[in-house]
Amino acid sequence: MSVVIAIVLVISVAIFAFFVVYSVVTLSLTAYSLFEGVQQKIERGDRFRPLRRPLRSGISLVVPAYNEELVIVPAVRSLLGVDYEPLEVVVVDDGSSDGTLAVLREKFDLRKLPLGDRFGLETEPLEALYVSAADPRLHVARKRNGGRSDAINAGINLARHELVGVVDADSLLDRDALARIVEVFSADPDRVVAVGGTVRIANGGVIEDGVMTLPRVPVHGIQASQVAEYLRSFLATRIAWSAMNGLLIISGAFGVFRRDLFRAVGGLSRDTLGEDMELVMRLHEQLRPVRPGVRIEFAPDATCWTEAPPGLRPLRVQRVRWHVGLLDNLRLHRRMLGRRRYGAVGLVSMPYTILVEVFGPILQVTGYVIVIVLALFGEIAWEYAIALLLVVLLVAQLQTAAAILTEEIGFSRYRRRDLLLIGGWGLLEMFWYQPLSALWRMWATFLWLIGRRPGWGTIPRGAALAQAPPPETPELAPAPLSR
Amino acid sequence: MEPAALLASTFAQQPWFWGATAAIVVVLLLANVALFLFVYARRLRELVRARRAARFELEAEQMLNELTSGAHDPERLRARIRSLDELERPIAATMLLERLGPASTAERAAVLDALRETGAIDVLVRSLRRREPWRRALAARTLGQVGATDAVPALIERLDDSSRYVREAAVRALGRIGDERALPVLADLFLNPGRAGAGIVYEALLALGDHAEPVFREGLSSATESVRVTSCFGVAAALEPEAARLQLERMLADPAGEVRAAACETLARVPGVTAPDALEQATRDPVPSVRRAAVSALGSYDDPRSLPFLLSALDDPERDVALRAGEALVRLGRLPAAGGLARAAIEDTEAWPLETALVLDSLGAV
Repeated sequence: MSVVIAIVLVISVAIFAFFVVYSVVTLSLTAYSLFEGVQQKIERGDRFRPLRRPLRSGISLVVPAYNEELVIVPAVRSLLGVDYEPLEVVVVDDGSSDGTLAVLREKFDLRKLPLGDRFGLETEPLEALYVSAADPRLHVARKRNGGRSDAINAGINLARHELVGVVDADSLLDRDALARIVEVFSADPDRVVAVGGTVRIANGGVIEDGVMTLPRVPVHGIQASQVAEYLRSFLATRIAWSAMNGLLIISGAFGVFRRDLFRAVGGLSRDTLGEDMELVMRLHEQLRPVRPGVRIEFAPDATCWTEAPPGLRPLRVQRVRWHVGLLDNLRLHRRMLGRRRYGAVGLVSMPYTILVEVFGPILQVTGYVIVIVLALFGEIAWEYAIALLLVVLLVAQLQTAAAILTEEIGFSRYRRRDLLLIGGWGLLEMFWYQPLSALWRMWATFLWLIGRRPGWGTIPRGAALAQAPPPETPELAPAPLSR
Repeated sequence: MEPAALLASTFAQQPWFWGATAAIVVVLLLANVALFLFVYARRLRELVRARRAARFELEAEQMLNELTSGAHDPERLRARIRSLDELERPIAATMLLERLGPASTAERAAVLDALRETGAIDVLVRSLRRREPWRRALAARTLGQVGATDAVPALIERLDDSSRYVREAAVRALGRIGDERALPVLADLFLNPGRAGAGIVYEALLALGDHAEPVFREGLSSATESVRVTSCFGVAAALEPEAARLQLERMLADPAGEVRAAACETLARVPGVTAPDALEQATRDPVPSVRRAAVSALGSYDDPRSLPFLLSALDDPERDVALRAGEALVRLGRLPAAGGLARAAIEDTEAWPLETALVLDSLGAV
């Protein structure tokens, strides 16, 4: 019995120590992000004005599409409607088994182009290439199925502008998103090699003409919790990581890269599940030793709206895949850990990610198990448990509140009631969403340790972008994106 | 000993533990409440301000009408402008900016005179020293928009502002005003980049017209690659085509690929009758982006000598270079001197980049 007690004690102290370190570091990052966000707002006001040509680089937007029949047409229309020139949209149909290509052909009057050869990055073979007669800025490629990375690499091979953006087919860009992201490249053209934008949840919002006009918090708890989660992830910490040049990831839903470097480092990896993060870590690892000033940035005001997994099952599939990808990437790029030549990436971001993302879920689940077992045996120190729970809850809520404040000061995209809902769901998620998420990540760790690869699964598309025009009274009408 | 008792003896029974926990909980709770209150207080404030702003906009509209029509009472307006508060000033400035957007030079000059007469320019110049960077930036923008030459020294001072956004607003304003006095400082910002966006300084210099010419020339020999790249664009825009071509041809020998590519791209903007030899040679440059820009540029010169280079570029190992060579050939086919030969070559050549270019041309995309 004494051994068990000793083990329980050691684990409890470890969990407590982890929580203290986690809280201090995360709240520091949150405070830094809030400060930076407020500073940017105070400085910029409404000053934004995009550059004219000729110094503005052209952008090729690459859209990988696999069975996106329901969303691809509105998504492409939305992308072609972005306020940016010169622009090219390259849709890569990755061997879809539905009518993705057929609807594109019908709606955009596609004309066949010769396939040609001399593709830089190795991919599954292209089967056909088209250009739209309705809008020649749109190119569509059909290829044999090879997965998301393969499709993006094929799109990069076809892209013709200096900058390449990767946007998922279930995502919408704000009209000024590209101009805002290019502004970051233009401000420091010698050093900035990639810029990611903010990704927000589209579910529940009102979309007019391919533009998010009224974001709303969805009624469904799973989706609403993701709104709070994304807001925290992008506005409460990513601003800080970017400021210290320690970003480990540019979200796959919306990122812009220098095409030459994207290709020079070999494009997206087809061997990892977290290919977006892997590319960013590879850029750091390969470029920083030879170009010490190189920067990977985050543009909080460049916004992309994406459709969140609508239910528990697809969310679990997504999160397990993300976590296995994270573990893969940390292992693949472990060389950077603790090395000064990689700056904040090696000294801060990677240690933090290992502590919080790798060990965090394990300690979290272990904590839950200990509490449950002790409660079952009537051995729990309730005062201690409740005090700890209260502190955990308040720390998490403080992060949500800071993200809401950053959002309010910098962007003010949500209505008052939605801000309250985000805060509410942020508070509640501690009791159900967080434990689930920890369990999934622990399961992913187990799969990773035994060498099993989870599949991509199928995340049901709710035809979010294909919905009817907005209702006349959006406040009262059912949300077009809600399911 | 029971686990619960053990755990309790570890932490829970320590008085300091409860004291510290209570303090942490109270601090966290207060911080949470404060943040949420701040969010809602801000919303409330915005609501009140929006109502006040809507009321003031009507008055400001009236003031601006008087200013632009010239039918104003200077003394009364002077008094009102001086009494504008923190909320009203930026609204008035923004409305002025919007109104002056489509205005002609003569209308702008008339407004400037009226603003001087009513003391508004002095108010704006003083606003360049306000505490909030956005107010300083807005003042700079407004002064630039109205073309306030008397504000040039104050705007030059703002180029050393602690905020990048204010510095950039001042750069844009100086470019808009187009006063020669700004040239040395803008040249310094351009040649020693980092304090303001290169593109913004470039645009401001361009607005100074001929005066900026020596700066762009000097930039061509800068040690900084991006300055040389931007200078290529500046030279192409500011110099006479013949002089620009000479300078840009020289840049085709630059050690940096990006600079050579910029030189090729800008040579396409100042095309002459004969394509420069160096540009033709650039179609064989080891750097793909240079070859890409070179073949595109050759399509702008009505020179039949470019044909063999473009035909050979159809076999370039880089896909995009081959595609651009096809498009350049199609464009060449439309020009008077080289057109006949180019069209004949297009008919005789079977190559997918050419086929692609012809399809794109049929859609008006070449």
